Amino acid sequence: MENIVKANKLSRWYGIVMGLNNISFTIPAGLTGLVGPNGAGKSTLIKIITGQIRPSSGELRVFGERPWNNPRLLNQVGYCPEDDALPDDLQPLQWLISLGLISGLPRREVQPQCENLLNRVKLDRVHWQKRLGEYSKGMRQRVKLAQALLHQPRLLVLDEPMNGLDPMGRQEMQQILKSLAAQGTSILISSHILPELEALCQNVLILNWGRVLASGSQAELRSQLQGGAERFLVRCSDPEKLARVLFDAGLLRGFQVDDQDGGLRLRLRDPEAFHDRLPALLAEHDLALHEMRSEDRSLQNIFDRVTQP
Amino acid sequence: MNANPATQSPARVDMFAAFRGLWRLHWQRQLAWKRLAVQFGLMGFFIFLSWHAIPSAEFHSPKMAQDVFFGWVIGFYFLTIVPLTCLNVCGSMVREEAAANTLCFFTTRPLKRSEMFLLFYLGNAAWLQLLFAIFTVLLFGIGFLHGIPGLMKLLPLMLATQFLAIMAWSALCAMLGMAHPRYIVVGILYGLLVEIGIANIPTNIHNLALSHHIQTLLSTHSEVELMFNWTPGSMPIALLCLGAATMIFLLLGAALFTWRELLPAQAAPEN
Repeated sequence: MENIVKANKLSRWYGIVMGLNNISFTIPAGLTGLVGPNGAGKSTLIKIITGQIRPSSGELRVFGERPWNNPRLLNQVGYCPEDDALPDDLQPLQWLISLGLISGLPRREVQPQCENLLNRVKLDRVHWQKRLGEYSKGMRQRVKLAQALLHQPRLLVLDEPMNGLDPMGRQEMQQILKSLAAQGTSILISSHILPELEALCQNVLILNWGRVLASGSQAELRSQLQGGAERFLVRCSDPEKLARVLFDAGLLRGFQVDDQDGGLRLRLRDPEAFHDRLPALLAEHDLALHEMRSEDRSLQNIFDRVTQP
Repeated sequence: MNANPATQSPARVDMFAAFRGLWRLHWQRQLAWKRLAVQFGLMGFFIFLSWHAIPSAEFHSPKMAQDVFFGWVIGFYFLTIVPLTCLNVCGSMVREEAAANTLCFFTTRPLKRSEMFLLFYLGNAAWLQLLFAIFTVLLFGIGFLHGIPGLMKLLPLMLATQFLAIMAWSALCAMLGMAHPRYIVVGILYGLLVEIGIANIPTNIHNLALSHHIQTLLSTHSEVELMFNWTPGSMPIALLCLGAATMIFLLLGAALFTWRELLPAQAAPEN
C-alpha cells in the first residue's frame, strides 16, 4: 500500500516545549488512527500535516509535498478541527457555500454540492434553517465534517471527531467515515476513544511525549507484541498439570483454570523465557497443546503495552 | 485507491470567486443582528452628535457654519474616526480569526497564505468602503439640511478621496495587525509620529505620511484648502504615493502572514 504521509526526523517546538521529538514514520493510504494521551503531540502532527504550522526541524511530506503554504496539496487535504469554534450567527448552508467558493467550487455547483454534503453527513434538512449557534455538539461535528469534504479531498484529517457525540452519533459518524474510505478517501483520525478507532482503522500510529511509540497495522502491532505478551489463554490436554509444570519452572506470576471452558489463563513472569522453554516442557511432561493465544489483543492493550514505562 | 499526486491536477482557485465567498461570509457575519445593532447604535449616536455639532446656516453665518462642518467632517470624522476604525477592523482581521480558532477553516483551503491575506484585506476594506460611504452621505445630508454652502462640489471629491484613503489605511492597519499583537498601540503611535508629526513638517519628508497625500487631494477644493491651510502638493504624486503605499503595505502584510503561523495563543489581541 502506498504511503501518503512520510515524516523524517520531524521535530516541533513551542518555545521550550517539545511538541514532536525527532520522529520518523509513514502513514499508508486507508484509515489510520492517531492514538495518544493528551499532550502526546497528536494535534501538533495534524497541524503540520494540514499546513497550519511548520516543522521546527526535519521534514514531513503529504502525497510527496510539503504542506505549508502549498495550495496544490491543500486542494487534496480536508481538515476537521477538534475545536468547536463555528460562526454561531450563520446557517450551515451559508457557511458552507462561502467556504466552498473560497475552495474554488464553481458558483453554479456550490449550493447543490453543499446540500449534498449536508445530506451525506446526515444532517436532517429540518435543521438547515437554524443557526449554527443553536446546534447540538453532534450537529456541529457533522457541519465541520461537511466543510472538510467541500473540495473532495483525497486525505481527510479529523481531530477527535467523536468528541461530544452520543453513542448513536458515534455509530453514524463511523458509518460516514467507512463509506468515505470505501470511496477511496484516506482518513487520519485522532481520538482517545480506542475501541472506536479499533473498529474503524486498519492502521494506528501511537504517540506519547512527542515520540512515535508504535506504528503499523493493528495486526502487525499485535504480532510484534505477541512475543512480549503477558497474558495467554491456553487449552491443553491437562490444564492443571501444565500450570504446575510452568509454576515449578518459575515462568508464571499467576494462573487461573476456567472450569467452564477448560482453558488455562496464564500471567507470565518472563514471556521470552516462556516461549523458549514451553516446547521442551510440553514434550517432557507429555502434554498436548490444543490452542494458545494472547489475551493482550485489544488496541487498548497495545496502547497500554507501548505506553507503559 | 489513488495516492499519486501526479495523476491529479487540482484546479487553480479563481480568486474572484474566492473573494465572493469571503465577502459573503463577511457580509453575513456583519449583518448578524447583534453586530448590526451595535453598528447601527454607534452610527445613530454619531449622526445624532453630528446633527448637534454642525450649526445651521440659517442661524449662523454661512462661512462659520461651513468651517464647523469641514472641521467636523474632515478634521474629526475623516482624519480621525475613519483611520481608527480601519485600525480596529483591519488590524484584527486575521488575529481575530486565529484567537477564535477559526483561522484553520481558511488556511486549510487551497489558497496561498498571501492570497488568503489579500482576500481578508479586500473583504474588510470593501465593508469599510460601504460603511463609510453611507456615513459620509448621511453627514453631507445633515450639511444640506443645515444649509451649508459648497457641499455639492465637495461630496464627489470627498467620496473619491475616502475610497483611496480607506484602501491605504486598511492596508497599513492589516500589515500592523500581522506585525504585532499590540497593533492598536503601534497604530496610534505611528499615527501620532508619522501621520500627524511628519505630515506637518514643511519639507519633502512629509511625503512619507499618507495624510499629507490625502490633504493634497482634498486641497483641490479651494474652501477646504483655505480653511485648513494645508501645504498644496502635486495631485498625480499624491495618487501615485497612495497607490504605492497601499501595495507596499499589502506586500509586507502578505509576507508576514506567509511567514507567521499565528497560533491561537499567540494571536489573542493584547490591546
